Order: sequence, then structure tokens, then C-alpha cells
Amino acid sequence: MLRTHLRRRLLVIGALPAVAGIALLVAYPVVRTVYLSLTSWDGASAPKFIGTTNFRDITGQGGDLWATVLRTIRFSLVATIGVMVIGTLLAAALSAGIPGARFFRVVWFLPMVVPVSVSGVYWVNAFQPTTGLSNYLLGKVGLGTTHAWLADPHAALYVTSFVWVWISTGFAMIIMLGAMNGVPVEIYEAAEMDGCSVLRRFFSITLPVVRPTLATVALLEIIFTFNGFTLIWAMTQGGPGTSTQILPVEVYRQAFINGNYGAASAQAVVGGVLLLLVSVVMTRFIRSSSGSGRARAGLFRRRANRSALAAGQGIT
Amino acid sequence: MTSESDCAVSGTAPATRTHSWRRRIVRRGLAATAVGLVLASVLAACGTKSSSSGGTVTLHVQTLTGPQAQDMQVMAQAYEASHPNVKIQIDALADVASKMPNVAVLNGSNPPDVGFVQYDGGAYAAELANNKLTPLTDIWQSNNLAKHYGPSVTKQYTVNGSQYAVLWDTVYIAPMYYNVDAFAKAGITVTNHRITLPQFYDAVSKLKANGYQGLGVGGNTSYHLGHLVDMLLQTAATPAQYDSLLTNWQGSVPATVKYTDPAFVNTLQTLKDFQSNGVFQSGMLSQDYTQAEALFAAGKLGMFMGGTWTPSELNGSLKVPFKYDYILPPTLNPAQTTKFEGVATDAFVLPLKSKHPTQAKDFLKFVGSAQGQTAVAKGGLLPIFADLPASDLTTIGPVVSSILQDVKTNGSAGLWDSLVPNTIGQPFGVPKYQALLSGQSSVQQVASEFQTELDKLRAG
Repeated sequence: MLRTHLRRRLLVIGALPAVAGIALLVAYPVVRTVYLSLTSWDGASAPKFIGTTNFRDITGQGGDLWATVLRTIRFSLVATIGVMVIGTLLAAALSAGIPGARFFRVVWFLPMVVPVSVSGVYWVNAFQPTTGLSNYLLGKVGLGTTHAWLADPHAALYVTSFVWVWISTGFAMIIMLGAMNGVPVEIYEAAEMDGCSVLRRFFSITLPVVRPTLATVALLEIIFTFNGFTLIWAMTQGGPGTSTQILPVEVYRQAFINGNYGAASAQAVVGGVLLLLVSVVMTRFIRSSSGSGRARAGLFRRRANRSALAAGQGIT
Repeated sequence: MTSESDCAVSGTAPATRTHSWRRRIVRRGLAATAVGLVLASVLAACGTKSSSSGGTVTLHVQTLTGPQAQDMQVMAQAYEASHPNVKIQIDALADVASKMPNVAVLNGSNPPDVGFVQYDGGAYAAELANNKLTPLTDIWQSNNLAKHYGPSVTKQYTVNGSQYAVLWDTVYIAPMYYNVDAFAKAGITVTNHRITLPQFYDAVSKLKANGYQGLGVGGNTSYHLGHLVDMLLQTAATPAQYDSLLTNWQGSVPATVKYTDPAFVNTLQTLKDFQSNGVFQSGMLSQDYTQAEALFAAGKLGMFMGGTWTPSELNGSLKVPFKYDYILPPTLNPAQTTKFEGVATDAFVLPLKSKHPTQAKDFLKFVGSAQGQTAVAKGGLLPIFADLPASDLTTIGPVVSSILQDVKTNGSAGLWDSLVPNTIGQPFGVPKYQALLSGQSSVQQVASEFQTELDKLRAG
């Protein structure tokens, strides 16, 4: 009895540093942000409680929160889909053992290592009319050299999404490669014996089996892009106009340029709640796909076993 | 007995070992704590911004990066020469960092001894509103700064009879520096540094025909498009209307001019026409001030819009290989002469928590003296003292000297988007101009948005 009590106390004492750390580094900033969202604060004076005024202001007429949220979702979707598609294809190529796989694994991961602000500055120059690399290449194939990609409000968001894909694909590729390398070889062998083509094997075995990992990487990418301040700030600072002004850029502007920390906190709270919702939905999807992925792997494993038994090799 | 003794021995020995082990742990713990404390003290001492050692005081002074930082080097050397016990440590800030983000730095536990603020950057107003600055009225009185700065600047910086800032330099905007060789090649002649709107369009097309792009502007920079709008607005409005726009955000001042009136609407329309007529360099909205300036220095642009600080960049790090001069942006009303717009925004303040307030005040006294202002000129910037002898201004170069002469002859105007509050000033305006130029908003929409913000301001 005494021992159990002591053990419990020890457990509580042992957990205290972690709890204190979470309280200090996670709970306090979150609670403080929510509190600030209910105040008027210029960063220097004492915050003045004003209830939900900030939320009414940012969502009401004149506040462009929803336009910013939609823009953020657009940026996030384009970038995440790009990263996932290209990252998965590159991982599949490496997993299939293309010539020079080791070299390409390093090269394709390199953009992830470069500081995002440096990448941003490089690509800003690369997309300049006449002098930029992109226009030089387009000029070489007769498509003109004067495209002002980042000055065009219809193109700027897609250009920044492209740069995000360039930066982040290596990350997705490495994670997906790990998942693909974990798919048992006998499943592929069985499928091959059943006469499945390379494409069929990719879509019917690889993708279903790595779907939980795919979903996890997608969730991470959505979170990263929702918070993709550094790249946007380095490339366009949200412009031209508001065409690349995603939520964290708008939060920064409100807080550090307009000195309206209350409204900035309210925007951050709305963004946080949205991300939380996305995370909950995605986590449920990951759980369900994890089950179906395992089931599909089991199906192929059973087929493999049957094929092996039929061949008299007795694989268990 | 033996066994008891053995037991006793065997029973005490581990206990003794345990005690000794514990003592060792405690001793090591104490030693580690002591080392930790010493290290923490050393680190804390290193991290402290203001430090004193061996009778020498290090003053941390904020400044802007770029020409201002170079200028401050000259100022620091001049001050240190006459104050051997003081070392000036320059903390250079990017333009954005010197604005609202600087509030947290100035109010933090370890602020600079001398803070840098821009009048229109928001930080100065926030610090003043929250009584976080030390009054510098005694320096103003001892150095007779009101006389040197002139009545409008004195009024601008006086709050309830006290002053909280010592000014550094003055800035005149927005000369359009032009490549003299390019203009000669294109057959463009300039009279008296002024140009009309038709002449301006004609000059741009002649430049293009000779392989140059038109006017370089950093559309992506937080202030540059604002300066152009300022200059166009100056002649789109009558002098009385322009003066009204500078003050009518205050509820107590009669609102005789609206942003939806022809003066502001015509200004926006002209800006839009510039874009439609290919006046700007291509990709202007995606380029910042330095990129546009680099294109000019590389000889690709015929003109580049800058300020009185620009020649120190063109002659300094950029080393332009051609001769340049300036014209002012075109007048929108031929009956009016475009004037330079002067602004005294760069100022030093003394945070309440400065570690060395006495030494910091002495440094500020130096900045606000003839000797300090001569150092400003030596560094390449334009001193705020308008009454320095010409012999002290030889280092500012012929182009800036010519600008000063122009100001003396034609007078100057206030910089509208720096003198009105941020909610209708540069931080609000520049994204609106970008939206206008990129087709996201119409002239009428932008004008209405300005008027809505003005109405909100007036309503308090």
C-alpha cells in the first residue's frame, strides 16, 4: 500500500518537469494569445480588455480575414499537393533503385537544408523579368523573357507555392522513401508473379500500404504551409497588394507594422482553431487509412503465402 | 559473534560507502552549481548591453542599416575622440525592425542606451503614449535645438511642452535621379530640375527607344510607392488642400478635403497611368528599393526615384560609372511648382531603462550640437541643422548640395504619408497602391478605403 503510494508520488514528481515545461512553453503562450485576442494592446501599454471586439472587427465588413484564410488554404493546398505528388514519385523512383539513387537522394534533399530566407531571395531574383533564370529559360524556348511573375497578382501565389514545393519536396521524399522501403519484398514478388505491371504495383500495393505515412506527411505539410511566413516574407512580403498575404503574414503586419497586437492575436486564434480542426480530421483519416493499409498489406501477404505454398516453398 | 562482527563490518561498510558516495555527489553538485553560477554571471555580464569595465563605458546606440550605419560610424568616432572613456557600440536595425518591433526592445529589461525611432514608424508614438521615454527638454534648451530645427519640426516633436527626441538628419524626397548619358543619348533636355507630365511621358518613350527602361521604383518596399504618391499629390492638390490632408485626421480639425475628392483620385489615376504607360521598370511590384537601385546603377534604367541619402549609396557601394543628376516627379498642375518634401523622422530617444542615462544624454547632446551635425554631414547624410556653414557641408556632394539649394529657393512641403497616422499612412497606403497597380483594386475603391479610414480616425 505504502509502496504503491510512494510509487505514485514518484511518478507525479517525475512528470513534474515535463508538465512544467508544457505549461510554460505551450499552455502559457496559447492562453496568453487567447487573452490578448480579447484586448486592445499596442505592445507598450497594459492590455485593455475589450471582449470580442477584435473578432467582430476582423470578421466583419472591412476586415479581410476570410479572404486571407481562403488565400492561405489555396497556398497550402497547391503547395501540399505539389510536395506530396512529386515527393512520392521521387521516393518511388529511389525505392525502385534507379541508377544513381544515392546521389539523387542527397541532391533532391538539398533544398531542404538551405535556409528558407536564402531560397526566397534566390527565387525572387530567378523570377525577375529579363534578368531572372526562369525568364532566361523561357526565352530559350521562345516563350518570352519579360514575364513579371511575382508582380502579377494572379501568378504570385502559385510562384511562391512552386518555391515551397522546391524546398519541401526533399522532406516528403525522405519520409516516403522510409515507408516504401518498409513494404515487404514478398508482396511485390507475389504481385509480379500474378502478372501485375509496375504501375499496378505502385497504385495497388505501394500507395495503399504507405497511405498512413502519406497522410501524416500531408498533415505536416498543411501545418508547415499554414505557418509559411518566412518564405512569403522573403519573396513578396504578402504583395503585390494582398495577393500572397497568407494568415501568418497578416498576423505579422497587424502586430508589428500596425501595432495592433489584439487583432493580430485574434487572427492567430482563428488560424490556430482552423489548423486544429484540420489536424483532427487528418488524424482520423490517418487512423482509418492505417487500418485499411494494413488490411491490404495482409491481403497481398496472404496471396504471397498461397503462391509460395503452391510453388512448394512454404513461406510463413 | 564472529558472524555478528562480520555482519557488523559487512553492515557498516556499505553504509560508509553510501555516505561517502553521497558526500561526493553533494560536493560535485555544489561544485557544479558554483561553476554554473559563475558561468551564468559571466554570460549575464556579456549579455548586458551596457557594460562598464576599467572606467570605460560602452554605450549601445541603435541606428538603421545602410548609409545611416556608416554615418553613425563617423559620428561615433567623432564622439569617442573627445570622450576617451566612452565606447559607442552600434546596434544596426533593418527599417522594419526599427518600427513597431522596436517597442519590445526599448521596453525590455536590457534596452539600448540610445534608441532609434522613426517619427512615423509607430514605436515613437507608442513609447510616448506609455511614458517610456526620458524627457530631453534640458538638451533642447542647452543646445537651443528649437532654433536649429525650426518651428515646424519643434512643433512636431513637442509634447505637452516637453521634448523626448534628439534628431539626427533630415531627408528630402523624392528626386528622380537620372543617368545623364542616357538622357543625352535619348535627346532629353531638362530645365531647372522640373518636368511636366507630357514631357515626362515623352522622356520615358525616348529612353525606351534607346534601350533603357523608364523609372525605377521599389514597388515591394514598404515606403517607396508612398513617396511617389506623396509627390504627385502635392501638385494634384492645391497647397491649402494638401495642408488640410496633413492635419484633417484629427477630429478637431475641419475636414474640408476628402480622399474621394479629385485631388487624391487624380493622384491615384496618374499612378495607374504610369503603370499602363510602362513608365516603371518591368516587374516593379516584385522588386524592392535596392533591386531597383541596382538596375539603375547597372545602367539599365534611365531614372531612379530616391532621396537625399541615395547619392551616398550610388557613390559608395554601388560606384555608379556614369554621371547622374536629378529631376522632381512631374507636376500634375502646371501652375504649381513641385517642391521637395522634407521629413525629420530619424530621431534618437533615451529609454527609461537605459543603463547609462547620464552618458547617453551626453552623447545625445553631442548629436544635437554643431560638432555632431558636422559629423552627420561628413558621413554623407544631410544634417538636420539648417544653419550649418557651407564649409561644413562639402562632403555631401554636388547633387545633394544642389538639392539643398533647390529647397532654399523653392521651399519644401511636408511628407503627407509620414505625418498622418499609420492607419492612413505608409503601412496602410503602400499595399493599396500595389493592389491598384496590379489590378486588384480600382482607383475609386482605393480612394474610398482611404476615406473610410479617415472617417474612423476622425471619429476617434
